[in-house]
Amino acid sequence: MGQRRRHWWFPIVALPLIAAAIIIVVILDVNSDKKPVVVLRILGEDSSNLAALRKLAPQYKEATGVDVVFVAQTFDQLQKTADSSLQNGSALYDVILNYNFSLASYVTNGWVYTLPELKTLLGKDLPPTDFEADLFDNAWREVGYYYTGRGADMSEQAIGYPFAANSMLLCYNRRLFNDPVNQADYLRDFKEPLRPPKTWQQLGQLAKFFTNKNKRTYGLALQGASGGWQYYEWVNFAFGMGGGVMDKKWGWMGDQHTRLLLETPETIAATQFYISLKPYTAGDYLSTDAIVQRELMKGDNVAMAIMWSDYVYELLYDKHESRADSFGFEPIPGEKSMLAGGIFYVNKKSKHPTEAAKFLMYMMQKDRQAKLMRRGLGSALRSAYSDPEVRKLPYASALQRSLDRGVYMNEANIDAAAVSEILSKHLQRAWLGQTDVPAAMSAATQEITRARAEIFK
Amino acid sequence: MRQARLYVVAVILLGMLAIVYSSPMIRSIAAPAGREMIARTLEDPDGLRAPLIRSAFFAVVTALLSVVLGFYGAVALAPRMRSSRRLLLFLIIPLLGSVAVAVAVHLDVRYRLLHGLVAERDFFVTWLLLVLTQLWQFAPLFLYLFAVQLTTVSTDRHLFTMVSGASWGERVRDIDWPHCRNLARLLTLFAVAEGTREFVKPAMILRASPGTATEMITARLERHYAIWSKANFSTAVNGTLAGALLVTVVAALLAVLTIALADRLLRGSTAGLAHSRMDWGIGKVGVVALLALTAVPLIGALNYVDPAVLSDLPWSTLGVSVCLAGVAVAATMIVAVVFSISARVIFPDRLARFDSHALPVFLILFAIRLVPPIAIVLCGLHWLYRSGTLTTTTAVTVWVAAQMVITFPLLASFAQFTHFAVRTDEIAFHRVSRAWPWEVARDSFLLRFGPEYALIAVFGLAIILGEDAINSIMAFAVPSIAHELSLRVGGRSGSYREAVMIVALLAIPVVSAISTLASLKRDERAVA
Repeated sequence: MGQRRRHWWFPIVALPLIAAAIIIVVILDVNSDKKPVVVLRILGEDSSNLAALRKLAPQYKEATGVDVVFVAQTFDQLQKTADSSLQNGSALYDVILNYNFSLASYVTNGWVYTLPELKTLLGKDLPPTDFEADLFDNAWREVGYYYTGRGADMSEQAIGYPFAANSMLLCYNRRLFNDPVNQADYLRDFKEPLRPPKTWQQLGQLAKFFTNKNKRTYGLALQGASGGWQYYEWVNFAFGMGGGVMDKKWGWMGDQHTRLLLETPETIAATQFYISLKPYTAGDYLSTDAIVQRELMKGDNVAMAIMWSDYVYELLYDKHESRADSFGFEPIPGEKSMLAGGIFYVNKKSKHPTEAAKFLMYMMQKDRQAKLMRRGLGSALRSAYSDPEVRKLPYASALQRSLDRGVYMNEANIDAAAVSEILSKHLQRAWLGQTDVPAAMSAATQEITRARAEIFK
Repeated sequence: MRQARLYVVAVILLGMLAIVYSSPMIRSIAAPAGREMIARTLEDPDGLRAPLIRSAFFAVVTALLSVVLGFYGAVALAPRMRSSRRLLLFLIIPLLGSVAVAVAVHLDVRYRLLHGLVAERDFFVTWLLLVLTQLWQFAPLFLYLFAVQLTTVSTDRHLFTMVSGASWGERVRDIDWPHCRNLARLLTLFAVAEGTREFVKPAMILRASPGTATEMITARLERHYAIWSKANFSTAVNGTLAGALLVTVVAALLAVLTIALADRLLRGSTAGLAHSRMDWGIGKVGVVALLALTAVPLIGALNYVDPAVLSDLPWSTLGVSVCLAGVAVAATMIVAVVFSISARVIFPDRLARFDSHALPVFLILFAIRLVPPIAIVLCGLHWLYRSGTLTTTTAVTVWVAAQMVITFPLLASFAQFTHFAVRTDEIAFHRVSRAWPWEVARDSFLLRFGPEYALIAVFGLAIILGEDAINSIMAFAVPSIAHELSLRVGGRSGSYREAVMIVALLAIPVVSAISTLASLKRDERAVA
């Protein structure tokens, strides 16, 4: 029918596809033949903490013969994957590095081994655990403890070891603070030397001082994005200025009857102060999360930011340049800092629980924690901060001091996500001027109360 | 008759596969949490109502604008099409580069004016920005597709308009519009599906949220899941899936409505133009201006083009990912082409054109594109964890199968649309002459539409490479570009420079392939 056509394009398209398919199958099969007997699969967020652990994986394999495969995901992907994997009883992941707001759910559902169970598994193979005395006690209690037992037998118990201890730090631009003109002007205007703020009032003062829209400099890079970012930043102000979210000692405590503190005068004053910083923040506040904040700081025209400690490593050291001299770090203003982080969760369905337990014990040893911290980990061990190489890290001292004075600020019970989402919604409305702060806190209180009643039902 | 039975059996089997895959979503409405989610839709302001209304309006408005602008842009461009065809392929780039631009706009402090305009999330400015971003991604693509379609108007018809002295407007009404009507309907359906499930661009550009009244329905479902996943997993999953099922049904109804609206809009406007004596064709300057407008948003992304990061890119992952995607798209194309050839031959009258008879077929094909991505992820996770221990080889097989499920509707739809060019009487001739099925497939389809199939395959490749839902589930065993991109954009150790370079590297071979294929001499019988 009709003239014969030359279909020269067909073999050009088909042959590479067929070759690719053969290559893939051969490579996969060859690699599968070479795999050692035990492979530990570890799921975690793609962070400097995970990157640091990954760097020690070859050393671990050489020492034990166990291959460790890290599966890195974004924060949101991790929550979906981890929760559904555990809920469905999958053995796909042996260890999950997740945060303290997952602990209550994982423990009450019986999806993970507790620390006593892991120690029992290891038996006489249990390595030294002297590092336990070296942990920042409050940090461990905040991220790694939970209730066990029922009724009169209920007690607080360590569930796992922290794979990292995080906080939020004040990051400041050294160039702007060390500029002689700025120093002279600040001294003239405020009768005190230009230095990183120790009080919240100083923070506001400095933010206003550094903001000059003609010169395109800003005092702050605040995080206003939903998805937890705004909430985590705001709690520094709320708790730091004497207010808070709930009346309890640790984030994982509480139930629907725990008193909310959102409408206290201190919390309202803190929120009003936070919103008063609006003219001094760079970028589009409502879409600024920790990644955008880091990019804004790299722009070298923002004086200060309250940053997550596990974000600062990539601020200072990316693959092509070092900005270690460009930024300084201090604990946030006031007397308190945030405690955050997560623990090694060993999956109860894991086919290699003993190997998983040995892995985390290996990583928790003091000498390894120092090595990990040099590679970007936020260690939960005090001794890691004494390491000479670690002390050279610009943020190490500030992080250590923050962990020392750290308190509960973040919700970590099963209502954590509901509290942060609801609070964020009303804070954003207050930021946009759609409501005043007392009305926003009142509306948030009512909505959180309803949500908690449903969640704890 | 036997062929029809076989075809129906094949369709039923495919349908059952889709139903089995999505059975967690179907079962969710029987669960208390699922029923409660549906009930709250109308009652609760923090339920699904507000985000669903936003998504519905967004989908309908952007679909109508994309199709109308695409059609009239193509009509204006038609005289230039033959001489500028390769150049005009750059109109496809927004489809591939939208993520890069969203990232660039999101971050670049030089867009001070933009940040200033949206800082207060003013309703008009915010939604104008979102609509413009969506239009930027799809309108140029639609324009190009309409323009290609217009090049297939037979020379006889062109001669007729010249000889009869028809005006430009009469030509548009009587020849261009009828020739493009089917394509307009298909593209409207596609645009509504994409608009309803859209959440990436609002999330990246504006960090859409309930506090700023910008949250779309997919993001609302994600939020429901996030709130409940630690508190009560069953509520999280069943509530989310029930909400997703509701969204799918609403999206299907919206699609039917929007297709009718688009039809009426274009029919009415072309009828109104019939009296116009003015020729709206654009010259070379117009072509350059059009390309410049398309390129402007990419300028921001250029700030993040950094060859120094080339050595940091995961080249082995990129390579394996492209190979795997090639395998998946080849497999999908085989099934899609066989499926659509069979449909065209077995139902020659029902599937002769895109009309009310063919619409249900396309709606069923597009059903999976109407489903919010989170539902696809949750259903995928459900089956993944029931499949026991996965070796790498079986994981890759599962990945290929899942990508086929996701991509098949789109590729089969475009293949089916391509087959409208085969006349019904030609199929009747084959029947009368008792041609073997293989002869029919070879002579009327495979030999005729080679470049078209290859072009559809390249689109499929771009979709699979950018697909995030299945890739994030299978990240433990299957390397993927989409997952690497998501880590560089949303991960804590993210690098926007690496993300933009990956997008740029992806765009080059895809655009080159499309350029080469589009310039191949098309079979003169390949007209619709």
